[in-house]
Amino acid sequence: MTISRFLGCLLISYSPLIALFLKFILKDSKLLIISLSGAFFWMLSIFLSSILWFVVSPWKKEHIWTIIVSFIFQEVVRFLCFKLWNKLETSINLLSRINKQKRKINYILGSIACGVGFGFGYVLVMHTGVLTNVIGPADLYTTKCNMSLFVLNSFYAQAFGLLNVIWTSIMFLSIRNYTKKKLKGKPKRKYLVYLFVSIISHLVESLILLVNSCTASLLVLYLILAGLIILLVKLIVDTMNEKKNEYNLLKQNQESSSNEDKNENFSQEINFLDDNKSEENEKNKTDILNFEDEDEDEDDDEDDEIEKNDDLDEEEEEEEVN
Amino acid sequence: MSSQNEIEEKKKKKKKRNNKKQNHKQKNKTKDVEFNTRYEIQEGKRDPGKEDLDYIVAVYTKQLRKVLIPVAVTMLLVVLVIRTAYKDKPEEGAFNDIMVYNESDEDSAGFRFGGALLNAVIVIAVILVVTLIMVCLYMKGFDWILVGWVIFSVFIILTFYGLLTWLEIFQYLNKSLDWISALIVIINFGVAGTITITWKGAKIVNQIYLIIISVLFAAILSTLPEYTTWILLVLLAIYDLVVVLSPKGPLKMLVETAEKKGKPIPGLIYSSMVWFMSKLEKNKTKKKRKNEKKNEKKKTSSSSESNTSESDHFLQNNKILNSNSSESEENLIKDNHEIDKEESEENEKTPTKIKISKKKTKKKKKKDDNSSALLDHSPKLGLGDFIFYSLLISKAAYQDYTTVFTCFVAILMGLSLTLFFLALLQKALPALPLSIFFGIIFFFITSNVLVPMNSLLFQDHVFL
Repeated sequence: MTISRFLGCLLISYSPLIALFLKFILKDSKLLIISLSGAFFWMLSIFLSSILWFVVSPWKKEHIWTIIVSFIFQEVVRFLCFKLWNKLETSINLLSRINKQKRKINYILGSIACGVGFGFGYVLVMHTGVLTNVIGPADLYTTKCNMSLFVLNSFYAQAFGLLNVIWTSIMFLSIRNYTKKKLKGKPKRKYLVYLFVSIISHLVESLILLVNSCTASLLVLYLILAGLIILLVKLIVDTMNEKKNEYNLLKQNQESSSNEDKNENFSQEINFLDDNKSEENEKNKTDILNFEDEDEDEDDDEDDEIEKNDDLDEEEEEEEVN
Repeated sequence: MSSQNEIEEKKKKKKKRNNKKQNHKQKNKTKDVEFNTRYEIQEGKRDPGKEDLDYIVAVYTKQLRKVLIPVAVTMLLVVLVIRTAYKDKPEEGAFNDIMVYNESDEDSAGFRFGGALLNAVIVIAVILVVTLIMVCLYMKGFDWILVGWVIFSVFIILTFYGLLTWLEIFQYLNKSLDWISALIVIINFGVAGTITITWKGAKIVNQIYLIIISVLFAAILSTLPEYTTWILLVLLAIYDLVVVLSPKGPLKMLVETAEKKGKPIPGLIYSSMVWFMSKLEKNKTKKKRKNEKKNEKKKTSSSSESNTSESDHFLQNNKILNSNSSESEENLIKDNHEIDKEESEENEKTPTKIKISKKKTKKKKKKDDNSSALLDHSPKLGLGDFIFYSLLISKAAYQDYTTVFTCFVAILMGLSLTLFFLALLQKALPALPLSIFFGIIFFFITSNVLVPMNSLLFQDHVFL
């Protein structure tokens, strides 16, 4: 496999992940750490499944059992990741609410970051790790799609990389929407349906690759991917609508009660519900994907103030000395 | 009528002004809350308990990036160097003269293990002795010896090891090199490196040279025999833990004497901030006056503040976080000419320190620390950590790229976790043990278990 083909395969498999990474994750350093921990946890899950594969010798050539076992492990680890992430996020948001500070993490972006971490870990280990051993003059041919094995595998890896992002984000958002405390109404069951669909799709996608025909595997793979993207978009829109409804309900509750310090309570509640909002941006409530700039900008302003005060102190002391 | 209009206009303007004032007040309130909380924490009036965890987390995330990126760059460079030049070389037994036990495939596994253990224990004993000597020299005022040693060792590494790797790479690329150009280039390279590291220099150039030093060193250390490297890494992690966290260790004495003297500890520390040497002198005099006055004031005021300010629990300026006193196993017993050179080299990559300090503490804190750290409010990591992380990665690079990726993620995760604990505890913490623990586990699992599985699954285009 020549180096040009190798680069082509890399680009095929990594492009959606790199696009997501550059657009959403590079700007905020918290999301970087979240994606790093996502890759770490995915690797733990694959270690567990590989240890089982290693120990149980009859599985080494029948792939179906490894697929099922690894599916279970991956989903369990994804759920554990969600639990960890939830704990962190609730604590940070509570604290920033108390101090009226803007150090929250956007929930949707956080789930996408975790998914990107999972995806990167996946593609690195399953795809490029093996591909780098094959750089050289020859190429391997499959009858499955009448193309080179490596190109085919890179297409599969691209799909699976994106799918990991989608699975994690659907799981995080659906469980959160289902378990979140509401002012009014019951938790909706459709979120559980979404979760179930995403989990089952994982199993289906990995099993469909065992099928021998080319069109079936590729078609089914990408169709399910498209369907899941639509599901994810629907989920995001639903979360945003729910936030809107919650906000409106709160506003009604606030207006009904007679409080003189309305503004302060308002700001607290607003900051609690809406991620990354200040009192100025009350109009743009639906823009949940607005992430905040880096904290350096805020600190620089305050630093300038303090440096001015520094100079004043020095002048005072000089006067005192003189 | 016109007067009424004028009055109405004036009322409207007043309303607008009031609204603006209210908005401004609310903005300033939020800002004031932030500033007051930080101010109070710094002054020791308030616990940075759970309420300020988000502030800690924010600072930690900002500074993590500055530390992660250089570590990642060093590791990638080491992988590059080894994958090109060192991988297919036959093992020449570079350390056979130095090691007490020379590993060979003929001996049994148990025997090799015992011999490697002996080697590693001797190395660490030598490291201990050398750190004690360093501490004694520093405390008795012989800084100039250490500084000269640093200069000498840096120059030797950059020239000789740089030339070695350069030649290896050119051998791999099948290119020729004449001795005149090599001499000119490498001497300039070495001299520039020593100047930037031990004296003034641009920030980026300083960082690049430190990265290059760690890359060269790790590439050389990777030629150690297998068992010794793994046992050495494990023992170094334990040693690091013990030395840093023990209450009466040599590193703490070093740090305290440095704080008293107000001079920098001679050593190689990677920091991500700029060193403005000329400005420091001016600020030093002013801040000394400030400190004197503050000390007087503080003595008269209640003693509770001073007590709280000294406790480790609060966010303080320039709390040094030691991780490793790095040396290599080359500091072994014999009277070899090479060893004497290499002995010194490592000693000066001494306490690896992770510092976190806040910009705003410039104003109000005592500046007892070294003058260079006065404006250096960024996390610092000693070169020993860089070298041993890249040593682990180099061992992975000899095997396979999957092991490289997994160990990479493991090391970065360990480093971020240690920095998190550092932000929480505000204490000296060792940077080695967690990452090496994760790295070793990931290495052995991938190289023995994951790689065969992956190769089989890849052939049958099965994706888990």
